[in-house]
Amino acid sequence: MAPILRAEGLGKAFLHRGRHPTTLRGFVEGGWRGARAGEQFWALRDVSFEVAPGEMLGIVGHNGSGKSTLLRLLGGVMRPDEGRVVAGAPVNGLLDLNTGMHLDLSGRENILISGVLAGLLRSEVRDRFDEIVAFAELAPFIDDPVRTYSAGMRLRLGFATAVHVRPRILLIDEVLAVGDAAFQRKCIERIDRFRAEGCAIVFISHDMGQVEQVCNRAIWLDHGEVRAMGSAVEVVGAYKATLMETSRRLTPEGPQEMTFQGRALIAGENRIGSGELRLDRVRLLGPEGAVTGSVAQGQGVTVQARVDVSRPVPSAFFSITITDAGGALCFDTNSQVDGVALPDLTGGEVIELTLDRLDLSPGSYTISLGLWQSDWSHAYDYHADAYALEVSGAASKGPLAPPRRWVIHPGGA
Amino acid sequence: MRPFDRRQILHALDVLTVLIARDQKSRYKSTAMGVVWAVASPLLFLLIFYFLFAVIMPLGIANYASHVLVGIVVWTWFQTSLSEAVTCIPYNATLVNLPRFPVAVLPVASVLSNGVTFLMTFPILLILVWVQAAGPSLPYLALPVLMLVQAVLTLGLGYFVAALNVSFRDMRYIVPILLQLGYFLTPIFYDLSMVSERGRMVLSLNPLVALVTAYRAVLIEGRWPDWGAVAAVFVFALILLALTLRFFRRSSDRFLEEI
Repeated sequence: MAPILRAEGLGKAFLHRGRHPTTLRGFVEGGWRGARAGEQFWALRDVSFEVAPGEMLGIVGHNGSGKSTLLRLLGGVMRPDEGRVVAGAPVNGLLDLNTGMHLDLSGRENILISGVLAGLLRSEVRDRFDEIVAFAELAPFIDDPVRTYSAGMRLRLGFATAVHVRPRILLIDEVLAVGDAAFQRKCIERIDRFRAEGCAIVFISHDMGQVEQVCNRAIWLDHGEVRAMGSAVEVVGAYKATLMETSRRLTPEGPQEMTFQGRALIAGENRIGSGELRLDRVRLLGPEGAVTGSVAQGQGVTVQARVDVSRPVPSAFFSITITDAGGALCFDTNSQVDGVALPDLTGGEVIELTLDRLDLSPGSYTISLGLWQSDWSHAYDYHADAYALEVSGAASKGPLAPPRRWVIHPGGA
Repeated sequence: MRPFDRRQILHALDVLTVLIARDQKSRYKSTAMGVVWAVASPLLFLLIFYFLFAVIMPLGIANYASHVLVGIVVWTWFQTSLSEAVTCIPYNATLVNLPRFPVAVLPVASVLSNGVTFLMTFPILLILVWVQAAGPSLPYLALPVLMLVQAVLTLGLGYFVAALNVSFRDMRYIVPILLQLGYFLTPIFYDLSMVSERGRMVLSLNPLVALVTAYRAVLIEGRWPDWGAVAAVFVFALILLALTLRFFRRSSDRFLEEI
């Protein structure tokens, strides 16, 4: 199908001007050159791509790689210094869901505001009003002030309004990173429907898994340039490989350490990361809280790690991955996906993640743990396949072996 | 772009409507006494000036309370609009970030929303004038014209300071100082007739002088305003608006880079 959104050699340059914004005072003191002086740098250069109706293009890259600038250029709120954006339909955004909301006003009044700000006419918002309220599942509260809503209710209200714009080109920025699982599922379903109806979507996310899952194509931006473009799975794969490579390159030489299970942690081999934060004293605890390396099928396990800080960093994400003996992924999560904010780590904190039940089939598993920089650009400390977990019980087939009961109800006559 | 044009205009008007409604409703919902505050502040200034210049050192201006209140109410609309316009871009950064958001409505919303407040204080003004000076008369028909001229003038300046503040952040400190100065260069608590010939030449460069004088002519004296002076202000305001709107539009491409 012919593309509906096209970026042709997009480039955007900014001036590095130190931390202070320009002032009239600076202008008077230094003249035009003084006030305007600054080093020009390209936030985005030579970016070209096309998106056809029904396609979803993911944009991945570190913070500062130019993702947000690209989104603003596509949205037409910033003008490119090079190249151009050709859009065959009005561009809509699913950017900040609570834009323009006023907490003292009711849900009803806020729907009108958000709807109009999202590009609808007032009459169109009124026509879709009932649909929006139904989608948001907020009918009983619609005349209460938004101040009384929970954060989740506000998001639902914002999202419900935004999706009733019926866009043909949609820009999505990290929206799916918020809200609970049910809300995220609803968002994804709705986005799938947009695609089915022929909407072209550009999607920015830090969450590689999500990009892999919902996008069919992806672009990897690195320092404002396209590093890779192709199928979402390939691009995310390449991005992740580089992530590991970067972490490996940043890994300082360090003494070999032993895990509690007596396995060696060797810097640059099964332990990589830049080392500002380190995971220390990692333990696996059984249901009774005793240090263990094996749990019975159907029981839970707690992963515990102490954080050691050599240089404080503002924030970090904690990740855990469980793979089976054959290396197949069984479970993977992190504090960002689970919506848990780690505090500023100063050293000595103990992070505990309890898996209430581990319904894995009996066998040997390995656990990888990591502390990552908050834009996922590299690991502070990543222990690859460093911990062994034995799940005991009667052997069964397949990865899953939930505890089970059989009941045969007698047939009634 | 052509097929969207009519819709774009309708949409910009709707955006304007919801922004003004949001502003007004929130103002009067967040403070239980919202409407009272809008009226109380000019009345408080009226009391101060009345006490100073009618009781302590009388200036000998006829119908002084009405005279001052007309000045205060007209000036308040002008001043609150401009103080809001100067920060309207950074203040509404999330809106500016929305695709297809008509940025040019932001200064209009500042002027019109404060215009609504102006209209709400108008009844108080009328009551005072009727009690003290003169009842309603035919020249009241000039009032909408005066308001239009004032709105255009304020908007012309509003576009200018809004766009300038994005490049020069200290505008938000400079504008209040200039407004403070303007307050004294406009005959609000004094009368133009008390100013020397030379002083009047200087003051006549202030377009607000002609407007305040015209409002007073209509409301207090019950006669038609000096149409020549009002027309001169209107022409000036239109030219100003045309120039500053262009300036605003040219700057608006850079708004997001600066905020």
